[in-house]
Amino acid sequence: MMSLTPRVTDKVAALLAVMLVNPTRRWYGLELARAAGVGHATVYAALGRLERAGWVEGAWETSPPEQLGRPRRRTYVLSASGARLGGASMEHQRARQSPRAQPRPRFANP
Amino acid sequence: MNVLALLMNILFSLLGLETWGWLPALTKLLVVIATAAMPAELRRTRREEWLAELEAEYAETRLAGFIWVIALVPVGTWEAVVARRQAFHLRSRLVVRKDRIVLGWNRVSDSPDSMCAPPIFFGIFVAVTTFGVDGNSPFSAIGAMALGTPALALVCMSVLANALRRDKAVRSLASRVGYIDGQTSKIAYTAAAKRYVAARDLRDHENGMSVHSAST
Repeated sequence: MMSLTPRVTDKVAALLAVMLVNPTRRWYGLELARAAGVGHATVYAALGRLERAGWVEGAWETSPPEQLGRPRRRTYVLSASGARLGGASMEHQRARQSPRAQPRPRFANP
Repeated sequence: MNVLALLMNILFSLLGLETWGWLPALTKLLVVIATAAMPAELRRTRREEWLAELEAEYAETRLAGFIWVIALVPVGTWEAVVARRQAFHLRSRLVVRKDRIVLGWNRVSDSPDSMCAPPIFFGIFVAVTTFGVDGNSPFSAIGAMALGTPALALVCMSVLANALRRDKAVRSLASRVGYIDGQTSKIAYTAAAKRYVAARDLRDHENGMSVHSAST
């Protein structure tokens, strides 16, 4: 698949944060949107971006629709690289957003 | 004319109290339109995925499902724009048509990956809403306009998405074959395509020579 690094927007970060709690769990789109608190439609754009980058793997439910009583859903799970790179990306973003421990040096006016 | 009564008539036609009127069909049609501009594989996936979610989540609250699908339209358009498969299709077309190097400004539109369905859907949609299936319109002229205008907007968005995707694909191919940024004319693209085909033929020839020399 693709190996491009996706742009980690707020929505993508929210999805990653939820998925990283349990990296092996499979989520379907609307369930993930609710859990992450992102829009029920825009979640698919974010998932598409992650899937193109290979961070997330999508697959159809294996049970037949007759057994489920509804059509098969497409579910998403973090890939190995997604768990690794997504975690690192989240850490990086958290570090950028955290307040500076050191006060900014002050320069005297000439 | 009582506009309020007219609007109520349209509303009840859409949201028939017992059968929900045309809303399920309209919702599914919107899903089809929202995904129509995507490349074939992505289109099949997204269409099946969204229809499955629609049935699983919104079977009981169809109006909410309709609103959800409206929100999906810009998402589908965006996904169609950022889809990155057309360049490969263009390249394969160049391989086939190397005797007549045409960089496919017009040829792209009839490829299986591209969008051709929305205008047809739009035509059917407007015809049905305006004239009805049996010649008796279920809606008034205002109703047809009220339904047709958003449909037209959706089609315009899809066409725009396809145009942007095509332009992106051509630029992607052109950048690969030595296109100089800043040149935007078709002549520049065609020249780039010629360089690409020449380089590929040279490479194939060299490979053939090396295989030949190795075998002998």
